[in-house]
Amino acid sequence: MKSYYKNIDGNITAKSILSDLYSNRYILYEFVKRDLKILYTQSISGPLFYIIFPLVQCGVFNFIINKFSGKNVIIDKTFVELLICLIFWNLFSSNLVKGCEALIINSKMIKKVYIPRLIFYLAPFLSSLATFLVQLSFFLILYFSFYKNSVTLEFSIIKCLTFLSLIIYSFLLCFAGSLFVSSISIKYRDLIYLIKYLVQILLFLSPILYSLSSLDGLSRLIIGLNPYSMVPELLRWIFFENAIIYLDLIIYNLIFTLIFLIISLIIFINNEKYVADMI
Amino acid sequence: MSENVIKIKNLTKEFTLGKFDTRHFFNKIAQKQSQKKIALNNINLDIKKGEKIGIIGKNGSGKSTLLKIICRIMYPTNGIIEVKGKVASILEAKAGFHNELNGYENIYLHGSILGMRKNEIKHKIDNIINFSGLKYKNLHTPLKRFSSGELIRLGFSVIMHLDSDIFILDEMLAVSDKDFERKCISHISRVKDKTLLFVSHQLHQIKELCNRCILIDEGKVIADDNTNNILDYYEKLNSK
Repeated sequence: MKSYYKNIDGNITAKSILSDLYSNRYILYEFVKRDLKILYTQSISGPLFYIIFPLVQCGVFNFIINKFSGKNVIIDKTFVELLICLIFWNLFSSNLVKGCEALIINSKMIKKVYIPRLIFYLAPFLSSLATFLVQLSFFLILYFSFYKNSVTLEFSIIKCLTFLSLIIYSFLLCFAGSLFVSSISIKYRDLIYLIKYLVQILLFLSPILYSLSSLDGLSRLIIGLNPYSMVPELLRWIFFENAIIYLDLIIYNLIFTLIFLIISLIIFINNEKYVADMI
Repeated sequence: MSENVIKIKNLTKEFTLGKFDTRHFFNKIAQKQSQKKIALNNINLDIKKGEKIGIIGKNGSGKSTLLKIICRIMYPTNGIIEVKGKVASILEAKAGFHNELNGYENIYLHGSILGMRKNEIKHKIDNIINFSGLKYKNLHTPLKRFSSGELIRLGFSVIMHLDSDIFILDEMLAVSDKDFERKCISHISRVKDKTLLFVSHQLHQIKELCNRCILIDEGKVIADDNTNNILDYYEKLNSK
């Protein structure tokens, strides 16, 4: 039988958190399973919501963009471009909001049983990947039917890898953001209330409804400061022609996220011992 | 003499009182000390393997805080705790349940939160359901339509089938009916080699289950002896 020795003295290290997470990985699995099962529970149309929601959102944005640019069509090719960007954005933003509230939502459980707290951040993201995959396959169907003839489809391994690493990048950025916000708002919750509105604003401050190449000067610099900017830009490069890669933007984004992640983890580890006292 | 499974040295726990609002923030900037409550004050305890320990005391005396620190839910302000073995930290029978899932799914969820593996649960699920006394056909309903007594039964049945070394139970048999209470108590008292920490205000349960008893008042261990002595002392204290 396994027998191990635990010291509880208020000192928490990164190593102890990781080993705890590993030994409790079954909880993560059960949490993901739970989240998948209760998603759209007691609804008749159930899984249809996966697709209807981004389609409606995308249609509205597409309509607005076309109205402003003077075109009179309701749905055109930018629709598909918008769709993939919005699918990624929804994966990122919904999880950022959920992650920031993770400790508050689960406070009942945190106070009653010991679960490594990182699980509360990891489980929602993993379970929302299911929604993401359904939406992604729907996008691919649309994409291939729209672009069957007009684009020479080129899918190299590099593009596939970039696509995968974009998912990982979104996760890391979201993880860092939610760790940061939830850890520093154990006592004062201002940031958690703020983040819902910030996310809405951030949608317009990232190059989703427009591409970076359509901007210049100061506005391009400001939009480039957003660490999420890399994702929609690279998505355009993967799926569509004539997209420019901004290498400096990518390098800046990666460095920002790395530093942000390290800072967030340090804050999280330092604050973890107060969580159950104050939440 | 058997080995110590829990060693507690100079354990102190403080809580900040009051609400964390604007006033608290400005007080902090002005470097005013916020009021603190000392929940546990310099506690020293050694618990040996196989001991069944009852913890009694008034409301707010720090019993649950002590258990929470042993379970690693909270961390001590000062002092060290050493725990050897797997701890089943069960401060509430239904803590891991989700209302929208059905009985079976909740057994898996609850079990894994308490440290069981999937195969282990699969192996034990019939025993768990039999122990709870719930009907198989009812278990396909979402948990929100169960009665609170049934929830406790289901939660407790999972707990009874854990193979942890140290069991920490906080005031859990209070809600269930006499029949189920008897079943649980006889089940717990049958297991000899496991350590039990048991908080309850039902003194007859403590008398039946525990061979050692700790009386806590205002964060301090007042008395620590065999159960009969402590219970007599506690009753005298209360009747004053």
